Amino acid sequence: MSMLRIDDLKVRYGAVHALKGISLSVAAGEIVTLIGGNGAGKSTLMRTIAGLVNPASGTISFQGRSLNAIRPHDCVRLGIGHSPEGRLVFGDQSVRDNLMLGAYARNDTDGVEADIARYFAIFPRLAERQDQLAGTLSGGEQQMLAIARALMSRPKLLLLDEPSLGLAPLIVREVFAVIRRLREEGMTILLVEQMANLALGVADRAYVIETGTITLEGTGAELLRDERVRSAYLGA
Amino acid sequence: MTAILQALASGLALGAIYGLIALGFNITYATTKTFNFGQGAFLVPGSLVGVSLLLLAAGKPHWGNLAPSEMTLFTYGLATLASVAIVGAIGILLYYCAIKPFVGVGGLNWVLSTIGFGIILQNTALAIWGPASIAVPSPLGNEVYRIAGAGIRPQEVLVAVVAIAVMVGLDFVIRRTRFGKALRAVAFNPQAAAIVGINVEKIVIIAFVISSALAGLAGILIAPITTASVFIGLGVALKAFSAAIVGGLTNARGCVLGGFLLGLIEALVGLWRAEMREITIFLLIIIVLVVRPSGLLGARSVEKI
Repeated sequence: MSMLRIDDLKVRYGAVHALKGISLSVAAGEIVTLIGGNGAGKSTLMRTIAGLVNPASGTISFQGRSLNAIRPHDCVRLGIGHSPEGRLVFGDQSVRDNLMLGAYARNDTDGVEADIARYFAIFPRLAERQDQLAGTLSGGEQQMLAIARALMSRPKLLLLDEPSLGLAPLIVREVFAVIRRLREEGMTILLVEQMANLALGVADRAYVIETGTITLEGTGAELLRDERVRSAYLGA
Repeated sequence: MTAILQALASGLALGAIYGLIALGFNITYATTKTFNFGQGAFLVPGSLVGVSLLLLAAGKPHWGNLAPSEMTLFTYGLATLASVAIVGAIGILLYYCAIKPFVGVGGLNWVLSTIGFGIILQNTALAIWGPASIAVPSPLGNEVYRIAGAGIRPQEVLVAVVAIAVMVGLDFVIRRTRFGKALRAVAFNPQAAAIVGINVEKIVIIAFVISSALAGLAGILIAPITTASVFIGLGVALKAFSAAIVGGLTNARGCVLGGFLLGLIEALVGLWRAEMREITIFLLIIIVLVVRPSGLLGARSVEKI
């Protein structure tokens, strides 16, 4: 039984067909990755799942509930956490306040404090900088904050959009170490990533998306060996 | 010297009024990049509704004049709460009629729609109250306080104290409370706010309610100084708008600072030559904007991308 199920999803921006009939599914506990070039529609898909974009047709369902006409803030309440492309941390508020805002949909003050302590333990750099404005953090720190902020809502599904974007290789490795740790804890993740080798290495299953359509799917290991994937995305 | 002290007191009261309204511009601009160009008209129901309620309570018609004995701090306080609540509610109407259809679609349609909403509101008030102004006694009486020889009107003190208390309270709310943090998150990036679970439209509506309520409060506070009438709002709101621009529309504290600066300059220059008041103020505004285009405390972002 899949947690997230998408069938024949089409999204248009005016006359532009951004997604031309996407079908995919994510089961509980899985890490699924979407790889593809710039403008392939990866982020559009993520934004549609999160309720920021409305589909033209097709269906999205999450734990049996339709997300087709959902508003983004209700999506969070259903259990979808979103670490968006470009991170979008609240630059004029402190690191701690960013995490508090991540828990905006929750009402359990004690649990929120405990979770902040938990993510400070996982991301010690955030703990050191908890009173600093998020806008003054480095790119890598902002990425960690964006992930931690998404986790603060206690999501059942985490949407992780381009976590390596603009980061130095060493920092990218740290980000993927965090993703592996989340996997061990049983988090379900839909990961969009340009760094296909890293994404496929961490994913249970993967989809290749090109100009709004899914062209390949398989396990992470299968796609890592696939000739077409290797020449198009792995530079081999 | 006593004249200067007197002018400082009036300037402070006037500045506090400008600051209140300017803060209203800031709060909606931060969240939606729009604000109510017709804000002046919101002072009108602010003053008239409260005064009429007092008149009705005294068994008079709603457009009559109040006797000083019919105005106490208690009844004035109740009238103020009623004005703030009603004008705040008009803010919801403003959002749905004049902002929501145009926000986020670009263009300047919201400028005309908010001006139009204000004109409709003002003319509705004209139909209800007529053009005559209503004298409003101050709840603190009209006997001037003598401080170091200067005569200070009690209503000016009341205006300054209430307005400053409201501004300090709002500053605390915006900086420290959960609602304030959500408001700032929406101001920073509405989509980022939405994905953490904030109902962006709800926050925006509250911003318009606060903004309108502040104008309503300004209306009832200045009524004992200017009298209550359908025509009080426009000039005051224009100065408040200037105060917001000079102080920095994106900075709440800047808007309040701009309000006090304008109020004080207006009162002090008025001592010298009344006709130089507006000339000086608007010359200074132009100079400030040439030197600091985003206002005295306007945003220069520290964001790293």
